[in-house]
Amino acid sequence: VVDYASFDPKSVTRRGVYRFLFRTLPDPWMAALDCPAGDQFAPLRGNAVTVQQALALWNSQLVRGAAREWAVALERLPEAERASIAVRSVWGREPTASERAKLNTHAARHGWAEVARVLFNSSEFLFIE
Amino acid sequence: MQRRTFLRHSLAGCAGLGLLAAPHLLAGTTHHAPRVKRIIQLFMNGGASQCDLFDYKPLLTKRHGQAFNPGEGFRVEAATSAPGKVLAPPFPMRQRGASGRWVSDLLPHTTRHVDEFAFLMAMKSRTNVHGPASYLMNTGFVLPGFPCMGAWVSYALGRLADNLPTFVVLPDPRGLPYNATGNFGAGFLPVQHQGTIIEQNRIPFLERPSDSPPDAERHGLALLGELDRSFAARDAEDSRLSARVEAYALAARMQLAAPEALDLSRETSRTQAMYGIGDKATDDFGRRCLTARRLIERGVRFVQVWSGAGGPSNNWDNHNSMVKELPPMCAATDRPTAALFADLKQRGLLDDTLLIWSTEFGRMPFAQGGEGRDHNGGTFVGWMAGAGIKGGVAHGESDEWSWKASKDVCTTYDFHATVLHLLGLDHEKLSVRHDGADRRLTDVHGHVIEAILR
Repeated sequence: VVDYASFDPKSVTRRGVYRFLFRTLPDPWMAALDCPAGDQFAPLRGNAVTVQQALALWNSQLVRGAAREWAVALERLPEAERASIAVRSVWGREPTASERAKLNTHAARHGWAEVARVLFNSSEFLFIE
Repeated sequence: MQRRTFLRHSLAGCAGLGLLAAPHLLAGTTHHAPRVKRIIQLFMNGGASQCDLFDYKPLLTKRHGQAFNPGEGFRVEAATSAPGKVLAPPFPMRQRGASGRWVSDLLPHTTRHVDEFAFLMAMKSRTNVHGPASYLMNTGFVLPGFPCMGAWVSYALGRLADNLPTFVVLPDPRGLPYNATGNFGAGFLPVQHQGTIIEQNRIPFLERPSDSPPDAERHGLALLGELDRSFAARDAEDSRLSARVEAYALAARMQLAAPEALDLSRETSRTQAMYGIGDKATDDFGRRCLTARRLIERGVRFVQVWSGAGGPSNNWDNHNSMVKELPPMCAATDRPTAALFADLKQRGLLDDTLLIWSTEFGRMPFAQGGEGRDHNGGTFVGWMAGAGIKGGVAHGESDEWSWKASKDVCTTYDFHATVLHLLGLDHEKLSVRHDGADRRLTDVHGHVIEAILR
């Protein structure tokens, strides 16, 4: 997939282990995440944190689609358990009381898909200590 | 700077920080006093014909229709065809301005400003194939994988604005040039230095998704900021975490600033008309030139405006017919180019802005088929104008045929060295260790062309 705008997350429910890569055609999504182009050697790549990354993770249909799908699953759970289960799934720990309150407030205002979007973008999800 | 520190910075940490410049330069500092702070480069994709536009050679008219014979000991060959007969420029060329610069009648608007341009009359490529030649003109190497000039500039000098990208590319809407986005890549530099491509006035991933209301966006970013700040506070050593907080803040500022910067309806109708906006021939290139001016005014460092798609047509790669294929390219770009120069000047932007007109190679003095011309890496013309540039200069000469560069040759390395010099950067010092070599935009070559500097 190179055209992520037309990517339908519902059509693909498996993780990619092997994927086809055009060596000379940078993949816009992977490029935003600072994946080196396929036509050069990169024995070691630094960690980059960029605006492109932030924009891609925050606005792309790929992440939004995943957030929507996850929200459907979360909303099947009893309301009181949603924040805990969501945080356990992405951060691998229980939320603090204050985190739980903030996530519930956000969910009440904008729905769980928006909560999922925030969690998928959080540093604690993206960086493994 | 110590090698060890340098390596640590370039390979691990620094990269991250969208807001940091090159590790050996403090953000905004240079090797020497800069004359130029920002650049607009107009790139004529396909190989604009030097001998039809600027490099007047009476011999072509005199020997028109005869066999091309540059003398004993020369091997004559062309990139894609058998060499044809000598071909005179099909459109008149005249001496213009006080400097007496030869210019084609196809460029009536650009012509008015030639006394303020410095022409590089004998530029030379190492290849006459589009892909490698475009890489060479953009990245300094004929192979893919190297950072382009805009990326180097972004890396070395950092940003002037805190709400727009540093390096923006405005491709021809008919298609990307040869090498596609490879010409605007960051290579081994961190990705934030790659060209941000704005197509149809849009920055990728910039727009709020239509299914997310504005307050969900605002509250979401606020919540994310809180969560990420408290997470970053747990490990103050890890600069990536605070950089992420800043990256989202910058993204949000960009989301607000970019639509204004890209909104040409804020310009007067007089300005729009000057750029040829509204006229079918010039509308597109005019819009992109005006967009380029608005972007550099707002602090974008480097804007590249492309004329011509990749592929066999709609570009400067006029194999079939100079008569049919060159005029529409000139008509599309001439008025907007002249307007951009005049507009930059009247607004005082030329005091620290460099305007560059370039292409990847030239064309042959002899015909391909009846009236086309094949690629010629041997000699081509480019010009620069604005900050630090001496007007009315023509540096270098090709041979009597406009076949090969012969005197005061400007290699692509010299061209890049000169541009970096104007920015206050020493092309020999601006290097990055990658894959076992200290890589430079100018590889191991390059001399600053002092003759065109003021």
